[in-house]
Amino acid sequence: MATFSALPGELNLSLVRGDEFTFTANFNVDLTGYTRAASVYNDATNAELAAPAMTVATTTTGGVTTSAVTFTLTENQTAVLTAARMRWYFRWVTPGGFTRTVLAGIVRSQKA
Amino acid sequence: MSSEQITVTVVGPNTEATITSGTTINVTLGDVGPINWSEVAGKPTTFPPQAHSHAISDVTGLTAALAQKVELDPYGKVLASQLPSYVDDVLEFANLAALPATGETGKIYVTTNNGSVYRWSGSTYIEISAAPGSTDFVPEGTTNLYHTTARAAAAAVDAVTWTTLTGKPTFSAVATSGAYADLTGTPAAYSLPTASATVLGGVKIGSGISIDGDGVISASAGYTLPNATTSTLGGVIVGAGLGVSSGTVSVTYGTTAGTACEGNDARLSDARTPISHAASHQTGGADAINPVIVTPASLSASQNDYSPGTADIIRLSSSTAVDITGLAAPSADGALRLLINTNAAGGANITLRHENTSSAAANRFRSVTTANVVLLPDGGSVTLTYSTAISRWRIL
Repeated sequence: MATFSALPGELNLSLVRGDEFTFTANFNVDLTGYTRAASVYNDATNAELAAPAMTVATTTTGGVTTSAVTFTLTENQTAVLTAARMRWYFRWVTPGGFTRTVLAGIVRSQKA
Repeated sequence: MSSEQITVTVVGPNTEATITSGTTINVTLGDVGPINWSEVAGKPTTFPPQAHSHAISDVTGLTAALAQKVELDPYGKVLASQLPSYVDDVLEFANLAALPATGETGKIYVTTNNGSVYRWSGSTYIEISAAPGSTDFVPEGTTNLYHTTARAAAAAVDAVTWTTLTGKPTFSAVATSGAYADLTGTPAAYSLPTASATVLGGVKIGSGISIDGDGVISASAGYTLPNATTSTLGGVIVGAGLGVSSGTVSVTYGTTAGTACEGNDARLSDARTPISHAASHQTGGADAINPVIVTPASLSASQNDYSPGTADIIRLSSSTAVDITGLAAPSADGALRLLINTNAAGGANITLRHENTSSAAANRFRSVTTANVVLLPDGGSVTLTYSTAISRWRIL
């Protein structure tokens, strides 16, 4: 377990090029009405390399609504992640129009 | 946003903040600090008021306002201690002796035993003058007089005049002079109608007739019958050649001068020698007979059975060279026609066609030479005569 003291939370991704990469993040926030964006980009040029697909599922238990966001990079998307330095981020825009980058980190890829 | 906290719990084999595929992480956003109202999701859109209570002291000015209100007893009446003094200005007592030893100014004291009313002068009670009770005890003044029947009747009589009366009838003016002209509605003067063949009436006396003072009509002496004219009945005188016998006028016939000629009179014989024809009908005479001349409309195309009208001289014209194949035949044998081409010099020719079948046979021209006759412009002419024997115009 890792605890971060400020946004965005630093979360590094380690993936194998040519493999599908997927993970799920459970948020203690109802993301209904939020807009979301995620991107893998070249840290040297800021050029976007891949945009992970995202699906959101909200669950309400005991009056508390949480949201599970599943990020997916396809095989083709991971295959091209060959840059020396790559980063990714996940941010949302609240219904009130405030943008927050919630998660960000280094992307490390290795050959299969 | 620096105060926001995030806890990322990585579930699975990863113990670091680096995950591999298939990992599930829990992200807990902690103290997110002040939240903008617009960021709050699911907030109600309306806030209806709900019943609640407040202490009197919570309402500004209420305690002071209540202190200025009168207090009511349990029966809802105002406490006597809170009434103003003028409410009980009239005080009743059994009699004069029962009045307080010292009274108050501004108050009225009534003794119920006799209905007397008093006021406190400051040192003693003074009775307030009682009302007279009846006008019988009030002497009459000089301005405001008492009503009496006699006064009312007199005033009524004085006030009523014919002029002031209302609702009175309207009387029409009546004759007062006794003259007939003053009367209205009299019949119109009678006018005797004029007598006619069917109407009995008055007559006027014409000339030759008189009427005396008794209304007797008589014929005047010496009546003279007027001379007859074409419009006046009258007498006539029998002239020469007429006779009259017993009022019958007859013609006097005979064979001599002064007598009327009868049908078998030898003087009516056809053997009478006619007088010579008047020389005035000759050309240049006072009553010369002039030929009939027509000038028909200018021709723009050839003509068949041409009918310019009955005339002795026909003045032809054309806008282009045209042919005439026939001319309307006359009713009389020997009729003459003079045709003249009046086109200006250099203008178009007009040609009469010999025996041309485009016209009816009776209207055609016949030339002695069988050649067509050309009427040159500026006066070219030809004379025609009609022959009923051959039913043709002969070109002379």
